[in-house]
Amino acid sequence: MSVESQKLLEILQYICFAGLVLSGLAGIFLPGLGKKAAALFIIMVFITILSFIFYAGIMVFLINIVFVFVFAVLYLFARSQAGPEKSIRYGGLNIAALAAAAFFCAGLGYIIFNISRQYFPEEAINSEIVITTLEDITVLVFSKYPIVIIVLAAAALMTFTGFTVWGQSRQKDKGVQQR
Amino acid sequence: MSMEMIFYMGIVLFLVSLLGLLISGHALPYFISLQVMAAAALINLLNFSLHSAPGNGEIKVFLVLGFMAFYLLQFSLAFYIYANQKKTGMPAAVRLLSLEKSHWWGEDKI
Amino acid sequence: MVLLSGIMAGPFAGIIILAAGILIAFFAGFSQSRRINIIIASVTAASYAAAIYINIRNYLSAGTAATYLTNTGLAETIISAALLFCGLNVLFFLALDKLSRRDFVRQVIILSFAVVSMLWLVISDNIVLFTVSLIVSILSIFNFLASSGKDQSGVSEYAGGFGLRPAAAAGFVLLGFSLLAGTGTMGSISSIPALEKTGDPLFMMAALFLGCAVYLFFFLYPFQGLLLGLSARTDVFSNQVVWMLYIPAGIVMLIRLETFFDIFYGRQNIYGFVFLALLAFLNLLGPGLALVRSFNIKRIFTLFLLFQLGTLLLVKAAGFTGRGPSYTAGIFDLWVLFIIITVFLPLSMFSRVLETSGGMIDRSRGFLRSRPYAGSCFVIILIWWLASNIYLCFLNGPLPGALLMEQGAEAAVLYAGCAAALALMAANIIRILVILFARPLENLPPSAASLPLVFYIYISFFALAAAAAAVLVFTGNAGTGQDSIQIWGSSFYIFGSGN
Repeated sequence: MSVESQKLLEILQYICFAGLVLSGLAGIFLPGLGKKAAALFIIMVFITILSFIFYAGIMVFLINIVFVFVFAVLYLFARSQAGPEKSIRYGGLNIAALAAAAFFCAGLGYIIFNISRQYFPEEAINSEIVITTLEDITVLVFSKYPIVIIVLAAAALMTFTGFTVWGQSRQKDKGVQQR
Repeated sequence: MSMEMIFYMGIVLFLVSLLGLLISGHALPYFISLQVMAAAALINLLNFSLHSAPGNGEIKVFLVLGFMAFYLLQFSLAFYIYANQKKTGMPAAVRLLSLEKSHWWGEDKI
Repeated sequence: MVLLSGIMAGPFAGIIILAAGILIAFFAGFSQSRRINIIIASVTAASYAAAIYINIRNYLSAGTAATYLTNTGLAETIISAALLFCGLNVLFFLALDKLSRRDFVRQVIILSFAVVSMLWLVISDNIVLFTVSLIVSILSIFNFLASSGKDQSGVSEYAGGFGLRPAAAAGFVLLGFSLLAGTGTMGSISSIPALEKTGDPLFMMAALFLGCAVYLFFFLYPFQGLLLGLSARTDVFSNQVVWMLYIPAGIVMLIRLETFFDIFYGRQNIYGFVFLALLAFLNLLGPGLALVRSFNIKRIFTLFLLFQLGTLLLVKAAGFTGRGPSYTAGIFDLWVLFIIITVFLPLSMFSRVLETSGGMIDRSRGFLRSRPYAGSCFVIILIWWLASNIYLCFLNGPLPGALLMEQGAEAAVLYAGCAAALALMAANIIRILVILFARPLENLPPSAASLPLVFYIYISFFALAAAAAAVLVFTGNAGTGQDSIQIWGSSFYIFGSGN
């Protein structure tokens, strides 16, 4: 790979990481559920871009098929909620508790940095780039992990069964309320 | 970026998600923190898959199947919270660290 | 036929039988007939019993069976039997409460699926299968709780929050295993050479994150608020689901992850010891203090459970003293699982009957005074609970050695803290018994006149089992070793290579 391409990829990595951190913080601290939902969407976009930089776009694409449903429900939830925006920001915690949580996270980060500082070896110039294809994944999954696919499919079916129970109890509540 | 730098970026993302989990008082920032934590795990897996263990199939399979299960769980939770939101209003009970007196001493006021 | 007999002799036979039960239940999924509900409940119960039998029979005939994804040995057989027994009891409680409901069959399906996913968690040896089965277990238990709980004030809010907490634990598990990828040991959990990895910072961080996952999963102090809030607001059945499905799933997760925590045993580390000892004391003394002014019976029993989970931390703290554990990884967790099953199943039955008079012990003053048989069973079970904790933590000891002072200052600190917590818990139990055996006040509403026969049969079974176990241990015919259960002179090694 040429030096320019490597530099370009590196710049894209920096942009994606910065975007992930900033949109994560925005999603936590911004008032307003609509803005939080927008931050969630931006996180999803940056993760997708990053996966292509790591030559693993197809894997994240498979996961995004399920994530889109999560995002859709969260977006509907954010739109339907109507409440005072201030109290959603950090749930009514005072500044002292917020500062304590921030210091705790910073301290933990410092400990992790100290532990792992000498661990990573000198970076060798890696000329071999392995790009994952859908065929690689499916061959591996269906040869060694068919049981896991069955468990996941059964879990989806069981979740749907649970939804029918929740839906029925909601209808019962609506009927009670209308009477 | 070197493997080390990418690893530290992943740790920064984890710390952001931990901060969100500790201070969230509502379901949506809690979910956002979970996504950021998942992003940190994803970056670690992709980083190690690319640099220290290229072609390692286990990592790829774990990434796809593990994250699919994780998002199925989140979908179910998000759907339940969305479907039941009118019953109780804002789901404020998600707070990780509760300093309410009734959770440490005495009875809960229902 | 040969294929079928081959499958039924394999390690997945129990799961296949449960799956067959689920399939049969699916045909009656939207039934509204009580008769069909009874048939489905009976078929499901039979499938659980058959699965217990088949698992034990297969282990006795074929021994340990290992595949690429799973490992089925003595430990897995015992834990599977315990979980199926829990599932059977939850099914029994579900049938007691909700047999006439329109969605009864679907709730049975979700319950069976939760048990199946927990069985996968027990036998999983591969990181991918472990992660997926853990997440699916969380999903199915949450689904079951959400679909079966009675709708009271604030319960949906707490139920939603209850589901979000283990989701964070699952996030920590993903993160922990992502770090493991950097050490090159993705694959089989049991083949991870933990002791060789003690110098590897990525491995230690992975173990730390997995420990955080287990801690969050159990709602331990200081994150206990949601569990206590949920216990007070939901009905008794939802509490039974938490005590008998959710907590055992967490203990199974802990047992499977002990490979990672093994690196901390036998390494003297004062910072690790202080940190874990503080957490252990918080979780032993915190429930004891919260019990002093608690009257809601469900809240009381949930605090008992948090105390029991605190003893797990005590043993982990002992590992940091550098003197080696008196229990190998997993055996103490297994004992805690047995204690939870034998104690909290009958206690949940008591909370059911006390619920009829409001669920508060001050409103049920004198409840056991007029029911001496039930009262004596209640006392036996509580004494058994205290005695088993004293036996495991003191007489057998989280630290080896004969005399207390020979074991050093750390041991003295642990013993003192544990003794104080047990004394506080004993005082709380005495307070509860005094209220329940006291003369009833005249202006309080009357308690339920007569208790159902099934209640007496149920508590008698557990009280007799507890009394029998206590007699066996007291006479030296049964006990626990470092990695074994000893019964009538024979030792059965659970997690070691002796089986």
